[in-house]
Amino acid sequence: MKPPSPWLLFGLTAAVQLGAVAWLIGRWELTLSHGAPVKFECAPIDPYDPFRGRYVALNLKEDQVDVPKGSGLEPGDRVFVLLGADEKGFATFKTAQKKRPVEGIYLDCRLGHRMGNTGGPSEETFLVRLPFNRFFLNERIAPEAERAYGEATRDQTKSAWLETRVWRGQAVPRELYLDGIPVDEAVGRGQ
Amino acid sequence: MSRHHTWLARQITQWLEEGLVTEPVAATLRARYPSGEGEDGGKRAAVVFSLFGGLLIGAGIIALLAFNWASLDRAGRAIVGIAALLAAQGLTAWMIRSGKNRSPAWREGAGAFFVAALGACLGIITQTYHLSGSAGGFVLLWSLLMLPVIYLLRSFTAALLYLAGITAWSVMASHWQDALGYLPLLAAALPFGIAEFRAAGRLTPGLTVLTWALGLSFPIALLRVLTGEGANELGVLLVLELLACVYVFVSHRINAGETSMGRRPLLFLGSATIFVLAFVFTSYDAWKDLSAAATGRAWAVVAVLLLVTGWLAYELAQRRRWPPLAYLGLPLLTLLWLLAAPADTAGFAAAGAFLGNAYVIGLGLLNIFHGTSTRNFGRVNLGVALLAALTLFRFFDSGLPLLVKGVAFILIGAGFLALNITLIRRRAPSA
Repeated sequence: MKPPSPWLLFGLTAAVQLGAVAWLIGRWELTLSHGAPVKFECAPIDPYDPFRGRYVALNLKEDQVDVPKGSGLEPGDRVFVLLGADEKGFATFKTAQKKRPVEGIYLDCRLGHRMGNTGGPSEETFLVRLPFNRFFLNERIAPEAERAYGEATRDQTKSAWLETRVWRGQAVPRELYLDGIPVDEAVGRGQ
Repeated sequence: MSRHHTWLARQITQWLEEGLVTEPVAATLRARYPSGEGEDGGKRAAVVFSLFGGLLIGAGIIALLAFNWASLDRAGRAIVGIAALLAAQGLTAWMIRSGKNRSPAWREGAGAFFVAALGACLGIITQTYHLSGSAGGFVLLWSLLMLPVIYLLRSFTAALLYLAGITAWSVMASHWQDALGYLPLLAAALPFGIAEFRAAGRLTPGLTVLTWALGLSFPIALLRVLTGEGANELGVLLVLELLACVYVFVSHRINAGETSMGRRPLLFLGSATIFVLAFVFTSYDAWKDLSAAATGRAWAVVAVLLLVTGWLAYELAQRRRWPPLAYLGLPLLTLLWLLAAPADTAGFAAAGAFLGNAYVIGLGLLNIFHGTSTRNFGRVNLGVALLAALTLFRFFDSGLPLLVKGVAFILIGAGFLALNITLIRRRAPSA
């Protein structure tokens, strides 16, 4: 069989690669422009978590979901997690299901470890693997931002949250707030 | 080119100087056994330098992109990321236009650069949107997008990185069912390797490196599929043994004439696996920890591997290449053990350890006899090494006095030396 022309192969390769990159950007831009705003409250990070340079390692307070016993869900399953909100407006996980919900705000993600039945006798609890666990920053301010994040999450009088946009199950982080101020501004003020 | 040809080329030069052969005879010999020395070495060095150049430039681009992009907005960062990809595509287009794509050095360097640029592009875009949670998803996307680069540039470096990518992805898979995706991903790159092998008619250095990588990658992905919940050790070990036999038999098909182990990756990996597992099975304690059962998916893999192994073994038997077939003893022993599934754990362990020891002794003796009859030092020494290692292991296990152990070790060493001296004398020309 005659090998395909290198130019044909090149055209297909370039089209597929650029198409994939455009699709990623387009999907995330659509999420940012059309998505519903959802705030995730942040918790302190493990102090032994190695500092990794150019981002703030995030730990979200809401990271577990209760599902009815016998739902057949297993760790690693792809699920849709329905979102609610607490009295402060921070996101909560109502339940998880395999079928895509027809309405409401939900996240498309995977289940983590099984945590037992912390929700009640008829429920079992799973960790939720969220697609974001880092907030990337310029490497010059990232160490200071991480320190400020640690302070804000450990101090009971302060708060930290991640603002995201959620659209068709996909969430894209938009801004990290420390006590109501965007992280880069908060770090700038501290300096 | 084989090292024998290189050796012969040097000998011919020496023979000419000593007047043993005339110039026409030397020229005839050189034409018949081309060494490729110098030419091959130069090409190889160019490929290596080009590859490292491509990797360094790619790594540099990644570092530059990661540096100070906070001042750019999202569109600016996207443009910078895509520019890296366009640069790699532009270089490839230029290579096709100028004919540089016929040079292996250019292909490998550009392949490394292309893969790095692709990673940089995806990296900066995912960082821009702070989406870094799914490392497996990132690696899969990167691997899929580098797949056409393998064919476009015929780059072994891109193929190697692709193999590393899909292996890493299979290890990170959430479910064993997801890890099965490794097979179609591997199948997508195999035509490249097959086409290169057919074109060269042998394992070139690039194909050798790729075969090493494939030989290591495949069992890693297979273990991810098998070692999920409920996977059983003995079933998994049987799969590894059969896979090792497939490696050895395939190696005898594709490069039987090669003498260097470094150039026979499948033979090395297959033999090493069989030897290590055979030694594991000689231990009573190891058998005590094993249970004679296998999961459904382990049986399914065993069934497929048995078919492949059987077919390859039949081909070897038809060509009367008997020694490699001895490797089949271990998986057959394990298979019998799994089917028999004795209930008594202590008896099961003792009988298993007895048969394991018998197998290693048989393998050692077979290598000694076959090596002696063909005057193959390597094979004889392998056989002796197997027996010596087995003796050492058993002596360490046993509660025998140190004096007995010491005498036994001296006797083994003396026997080893005596056998080699005898073989050297037999091999020396009698005239």
